[in-house]
Amino acid sequence: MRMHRIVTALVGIGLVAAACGGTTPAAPSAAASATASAAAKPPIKLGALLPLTGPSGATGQDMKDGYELAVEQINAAGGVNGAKVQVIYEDDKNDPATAVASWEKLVNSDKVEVMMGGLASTISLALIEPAKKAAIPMAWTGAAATAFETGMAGQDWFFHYHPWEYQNATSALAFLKSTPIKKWAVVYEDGAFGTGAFTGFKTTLPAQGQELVSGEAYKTGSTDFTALLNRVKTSGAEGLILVPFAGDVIPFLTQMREVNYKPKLTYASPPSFPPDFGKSPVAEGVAGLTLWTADIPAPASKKFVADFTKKYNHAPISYWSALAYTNIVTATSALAKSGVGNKAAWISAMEATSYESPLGPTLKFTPSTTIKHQGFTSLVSFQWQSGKQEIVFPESLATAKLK
Amino acid sequence: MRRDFVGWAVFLVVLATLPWLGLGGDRYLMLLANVMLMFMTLALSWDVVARTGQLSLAHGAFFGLGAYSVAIAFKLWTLPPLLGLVVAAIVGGAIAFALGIVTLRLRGIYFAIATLAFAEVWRTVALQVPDLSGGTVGIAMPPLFDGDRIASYYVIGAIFTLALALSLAVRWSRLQYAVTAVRANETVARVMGLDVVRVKVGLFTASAVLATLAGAFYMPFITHTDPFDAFDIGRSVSALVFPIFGGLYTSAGPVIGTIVMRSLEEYLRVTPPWKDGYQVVYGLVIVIAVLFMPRGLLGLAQRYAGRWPWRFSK
Amino acid sequence: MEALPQTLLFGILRSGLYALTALGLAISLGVIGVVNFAHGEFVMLGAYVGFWLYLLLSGPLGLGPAVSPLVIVIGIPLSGIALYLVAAGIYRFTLRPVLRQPELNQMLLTFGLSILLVNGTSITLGPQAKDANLDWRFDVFDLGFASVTYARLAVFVVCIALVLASYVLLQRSRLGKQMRAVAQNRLGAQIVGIHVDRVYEIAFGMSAALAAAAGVMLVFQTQVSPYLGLGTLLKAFSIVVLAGLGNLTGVLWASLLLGLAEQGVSQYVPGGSALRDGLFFVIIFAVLLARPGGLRR
Repeated sequence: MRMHRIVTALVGIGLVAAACGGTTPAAPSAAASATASAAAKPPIKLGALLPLTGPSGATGQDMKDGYELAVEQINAAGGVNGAKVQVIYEDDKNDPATAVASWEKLVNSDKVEVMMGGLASTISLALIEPAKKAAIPMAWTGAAATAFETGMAGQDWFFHYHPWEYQNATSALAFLKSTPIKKWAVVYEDGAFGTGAFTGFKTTLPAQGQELVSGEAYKTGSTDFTALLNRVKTSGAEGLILVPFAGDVIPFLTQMREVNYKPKLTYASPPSFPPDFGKSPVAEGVAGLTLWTADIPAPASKKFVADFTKKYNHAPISYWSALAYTNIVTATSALAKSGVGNKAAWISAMEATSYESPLGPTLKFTPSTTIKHQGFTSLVSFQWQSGKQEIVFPESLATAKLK
Repeated sequence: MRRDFVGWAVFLVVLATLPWLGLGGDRYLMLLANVMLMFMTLALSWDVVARTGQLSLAHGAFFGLGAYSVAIAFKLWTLPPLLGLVVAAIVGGAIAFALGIVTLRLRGIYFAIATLAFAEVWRTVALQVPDLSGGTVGIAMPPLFDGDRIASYYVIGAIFTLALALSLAVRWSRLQYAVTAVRANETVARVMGLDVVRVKVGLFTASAVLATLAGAFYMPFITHTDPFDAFDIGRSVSALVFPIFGGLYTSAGPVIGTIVMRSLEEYLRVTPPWKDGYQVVYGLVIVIAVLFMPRGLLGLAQRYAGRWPWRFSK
Repeated sequence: MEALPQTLLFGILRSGLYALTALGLAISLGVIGVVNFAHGEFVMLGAYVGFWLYLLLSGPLGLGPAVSPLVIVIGIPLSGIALYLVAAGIYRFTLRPVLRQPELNQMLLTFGLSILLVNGTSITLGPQAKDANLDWRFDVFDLGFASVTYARLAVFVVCIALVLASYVLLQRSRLGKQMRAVAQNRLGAQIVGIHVDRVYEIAFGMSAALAAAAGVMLVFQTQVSPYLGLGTLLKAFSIVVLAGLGNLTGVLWASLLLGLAEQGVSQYVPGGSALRDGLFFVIIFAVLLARPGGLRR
């Protein structure tokens, strides 16, 4: 079978060609930047690894919008020390193998200065090993799982923005304690996100004098919760804590009506609420936990929302856009102070960060229980009142009282 | 057959020397090469089973079982990954044998759905035994050869060679007639004296063991997995898309199909302007391929070489 | 045990949507013999039509309480016709040429179409999942032992009506008889003078129309997103196989069985909600082993 031989030979040649092709791109761009240095500085490349397709794609796009807004503003103001900022986006497709491949490409082929991005914990967990191997500056927005924090312990070049899950829990618990309710039921999605929260509540609620009378897991995306709700109803819980993904929120709340279950308070903490959720009748009175809402009075936030809406003709979808914005602004400010290619100086510059973020609080990096550089550490609790998200806890930031 | 053998030997030599031809220094490309071999193994193993008429949607599940076997073996007994491969092969083989026996009476789409059901159940199982499997958070283990992608390349290369050997062995032996007969009409084959049970179950088991080994390699390579990643239905789908695209019931087909599709996928994913819409292009390529290349890439090549050795048998 | 009546009721109500989704698939599988991986996407596209209609009726037209019933009354014919045309086009340009090829190639084709449709939708309409805040999703109807949202009832009634109408069509009408003839014996049907190609096209279009109707009803239950079809497909397939290829009445019973089983398991098995999907597949597996041809009557 002559054909087989020819084909296999072609394949072999093809692979070899790919190998050679893969190592040449560095040459042309080096030459280009050498000749261009007199005229303009080469752009500073940053890498952003996000889920741009798939079910988390919308949030990933929201993050990308945040990055792009910042890039536009930074470059309009002259860039970083005269050089333009350029972000190379890679889609991790919510798949660990793809994420690792993208990481490798950004770090080894594109040779970015700083790696940004990150949303899902499972993806971040797969990136621990490649990240430690590459050891380049990493300003990471996502992943709340404690396992990730433990994995990155001791890596000084790692800066983490989003609160860890135990910090999420602390914020939530403080709010829960402030309510008059003693008996809680927890309904959670059965993935890492929900189960992590539930495991936390099991110990922390009793520790602050409240009782966990019922815990129910469900599979996200299932459209039916009536069976589960019947059981919760008979458990005697006065308050309901819900840890879902966005798509489960409305079906769940609607079915609560169907089984006639009306707890004194419903506290939901999805990574983001469905769009226009506030307009639906089931939203009234629902409380939640968030890093940020578009309505908070902080001036930096108002400016961000205005700029964002002007550029994209719609409001930010979730707090992730504001978080991404904060991410790149702080990472590039540090680069401006340290210059490119100087990791130690970048780390020092990041440590000195004190940035009035659109999220509200001023961002500073402080040690958490395991890592050295943690950004945001607490969240706020809000309640929907007449279609608006009113912050109800902590009192220092509250815009309304809990009903 | 002699000439084929030379062709494949050349191919294997090229594969073996690939890291030294310039690929080795680039971690990104080495990662792609490792993953490519992994998918080629999966595609080859699926194709072998498809030859008997059994359309398996469980290969992705065996992949996941392999991954978890190695991870759990490490967790419980600190078993190094290379020994973990052996454990995984045994586990995968035993389960596949049982599944093969139990589904003997099922044909065509019924067999496919049964394997699909089988596959989906495992994810739930993994979620329900968190003490063993790590539950939703998943399970982790130290990297294979401490992240040395060239060394791991040879490990998956060895596994791939096993898969290739199986595929070629079936092709070049009398089993080729046996599987074609079973695929064409199982009842008649049985009447003619063929031990259909042995053929079906034997090949299913062997094929599944290879899929399991691919997964067993994946685990220390990627260092972390969870039930949703390990038992991802997408892998079962890839296992069948690549051979069909490349050319069914051959050995070169799954190999070429994997290389072309995976390279295309990766290229589209990282290159503008395709980056944002690459999956649409991917889907389009599949549709066009089926419309114009009914016998896969290999069939196309053979047609233009003036040959038509292919006969469809249903 | 006080939850039993409600469990039974909800199980039955759920099966309506399952039956409608599965019936379309059963028709394309039974009549044409093609495994249509894009069936879920037909459902998804129907859902988008329904969602768009909701936006139109509640937004610029501001019809208030009439929106919910109108989405059904207008949405179903609208999406049905739209998807029928889309499917007929798909049949003519891609499926028909491939029908003489092995089953696997057809599967690959529909799989490619599925990827195209999902990602095409994601790119043009955005990957964001959207909720339709239809009144009927929130208003409840009190039955004493349980409350049901209008949506749940409406979904059941509409789906069962469509399923029964399809059965009547298949049993009584000339077209239906032609379809059944082709499903039984293609060559024989051709000999008798039935225009098989036309029947195939109509069957495929019809399966898509039914799927689209199911999609419109889904707008009353869940978020609309490009990825809606994926989960729907698996379940629909399982029901069709459970019923047995070519056994269209079996689809109704299989859907009922599964709807009740799901509900029962969620309610009575501890940790049931999480186990539910896994158990779904265990049941399928067990039935297939016991009866290799499905639940044939």
